[in-house]
Amino acid sequence: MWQYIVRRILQMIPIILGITLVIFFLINMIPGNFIEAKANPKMSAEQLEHLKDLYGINDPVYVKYFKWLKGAVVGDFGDSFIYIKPVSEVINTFVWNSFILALFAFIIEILIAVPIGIISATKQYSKTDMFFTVFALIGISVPSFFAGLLLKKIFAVDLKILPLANMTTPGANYTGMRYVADVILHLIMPCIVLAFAGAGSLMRFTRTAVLEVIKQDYIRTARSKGLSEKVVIYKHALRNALIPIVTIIGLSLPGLFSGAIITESIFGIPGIGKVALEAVTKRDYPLMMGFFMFIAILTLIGNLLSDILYAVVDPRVKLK
Amino acid sequence: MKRKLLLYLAIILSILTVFTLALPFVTIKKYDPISGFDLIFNISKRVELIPSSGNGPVLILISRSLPLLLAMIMYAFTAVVFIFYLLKPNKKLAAAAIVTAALGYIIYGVQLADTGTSIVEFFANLLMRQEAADGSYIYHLAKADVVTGLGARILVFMGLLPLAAAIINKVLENIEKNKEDYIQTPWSIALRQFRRNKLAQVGLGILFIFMIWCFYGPVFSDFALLETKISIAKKSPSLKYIFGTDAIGRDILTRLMYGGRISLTVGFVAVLIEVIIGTSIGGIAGYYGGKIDSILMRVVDVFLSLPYLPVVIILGTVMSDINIPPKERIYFVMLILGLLGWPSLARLVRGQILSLREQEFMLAAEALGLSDRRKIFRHLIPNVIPQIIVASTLGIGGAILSESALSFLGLGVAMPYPSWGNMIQAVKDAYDFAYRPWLWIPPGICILVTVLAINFVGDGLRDAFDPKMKR
Repeated sequence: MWQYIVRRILQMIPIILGITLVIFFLINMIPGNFIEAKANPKMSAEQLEHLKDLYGINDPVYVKYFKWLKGAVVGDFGDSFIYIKPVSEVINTFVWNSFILALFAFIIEILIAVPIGIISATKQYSKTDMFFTVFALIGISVPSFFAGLLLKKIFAVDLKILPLANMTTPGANYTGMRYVADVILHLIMPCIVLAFAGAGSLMRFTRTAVLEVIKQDYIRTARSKGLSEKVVIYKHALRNALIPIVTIIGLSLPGLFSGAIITESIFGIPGIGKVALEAVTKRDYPLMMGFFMFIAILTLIGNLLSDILYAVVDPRVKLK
Repeated sequence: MKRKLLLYLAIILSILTVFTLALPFVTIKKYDPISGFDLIFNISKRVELIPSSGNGPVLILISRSLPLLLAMIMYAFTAVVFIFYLLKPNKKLAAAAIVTAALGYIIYGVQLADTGTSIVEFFANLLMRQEAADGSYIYHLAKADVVTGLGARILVFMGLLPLAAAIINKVLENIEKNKEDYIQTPWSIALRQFRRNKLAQVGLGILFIFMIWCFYGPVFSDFALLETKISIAKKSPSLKYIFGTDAIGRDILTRLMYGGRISLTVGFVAVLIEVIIGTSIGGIAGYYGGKIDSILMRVVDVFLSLPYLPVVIILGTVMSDINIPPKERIYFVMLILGLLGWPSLARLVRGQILSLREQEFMLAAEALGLSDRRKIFRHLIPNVIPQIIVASTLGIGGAILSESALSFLGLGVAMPYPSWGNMIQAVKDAYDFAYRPWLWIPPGICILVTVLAINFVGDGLRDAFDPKMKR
């Protein structure tokens, strides 16, 4: 097991190097730079050049890359141009807002999707199944920005029962329970948007997983020895059906930290996704690089985690 | 007997379709209407239009109706094929009738593919001629009230009828045949499964209607794609403007249709690129295995670890910054989405081919001494096609969603060309967001319904191809 994990981690190294290469050159394809983007018109050309030299913008791409890589190996991703702080610190500041939002959404998602998926599978091809299938497919098909805008229009503009944007009421410095209540009120709509989108695919996944198990021989055996349908489904079938579900949940755990660019932007949540979008528009290269590396590593960890989880919940699987 | 009646009807319908040309295709206020025959007999020629009342400028019409002529030739062919079929029923002729009728309709769609600033541009260019002081002529773009004529509009419906007749004929033929001998193939089983899936059928219907609406609908509109009219800006929905008008006086309904064309095309082409790259790379990796496989799969791993949306956003920003003209941006969006979407498909194809490679029929192919290319493309890939079809159908929905998100952020399809995503950009104006919902809700609903329909179809296809899902 440990051998497997170590080998997997070693395998990640060339992938991570490949990712740094792709992202670095991708980001450097963007014309324009941070200095020109917010230059003071009174500055002379020499001053501009000097500033660019200071920020290392004038170096050739490969020099920039190796400079960055040298820092990255020891965990120094450079300083963000916008926030004038180390990138890791900026990410650490904003990632927790994203995490809280994503965690709530994820919990709602699981609570909705898994039970509905099981019901849908046990009543395959019935009206209930059809209804939930349509519901899930709507969740998959709706563009998140449109869902967000629609909720905002209905609940914030027309009914005026929920706040329009931001994570806290601006200017009101609540403390204690009031603060928590305020945040929850602000997170309701973005949570619904995220959970609705995620619940769709998780529900479909659960349904497929349960269906696969129900069709197996041992379930028929359980039925034929006269067990009640409840016991058959929830005691015999569910245990095996949960294996792939747990795996996919493990796969999405690191994703809780990766932020939701569009939803966060629409609801003005100061999360990592919104910061990333801002970094792109303001050409904050170190922050962009840091963000991409953060996400890429999270994805790789997610893959590893799901493989390990698979072996942990399913004793039949042996990792070698 | 019933079949014969249908065939007579089909012949009449095909001929009638050709004769819609006698009806006006373009009508210009104060001028005689221009029929379809006028258009196709004067392809690439200049026709002088003299106002019917006698006074007013002389207009010059330069017909660009070659596709219309080709479409009509196709319909004439359809009639001929039906006549031959009536004389001697033959399986191939029945299929040929479907092909010619469908081609005719598609070519007519090509004719309707583009209008810039004036409705007449569906079929022709219109110039205005003025006499200068020295007796020479000056030509400039005509400003006239142009509307598509009855003929052009009727043809949208008429064109579908021969196609419908040809398809019904084929279905009836199949039913008669099936009574005699019926062989089950994997494809016919899948087709039967698919037909039983109500949701998939509904999805297919919605998709068909949306395509007809987007690609042929603009002919019913009195607004051109790029035409602006500030005097009617931000009108709320009424009988004349069903979904109202936008900030610079463009009819929302018309823009929805043009936007749908762009969004749907982007989705389809992006997935086409995805399938071509993904299938080749997955096929090669799976077939050769070893070093080639591990190198290609590491590349796939790199692409799959990249966060999709941020990368798309960066590429969109690059595109905005190097000033690609709006018309070409549409192609770049297709390219970006296609180039980023292939890795998951490559992985799917590779996995399937890895397991197929070990089966007996591949041993037989080996024994026959077939070339590698033949083995991959003729023996392995066809066995993966069901999975590719399912993945690419669902991929189209995903591509449309990505395109809309990108265009919504202002980094995809750009003004003045509409896409459903960039129409929702109207919400940037806080007042429009709160009080003029007709500006942004219809395009959002369009995205939702289209992607939902595609997902219904994809879901149905997955069930249909899955032998475990038999009902």
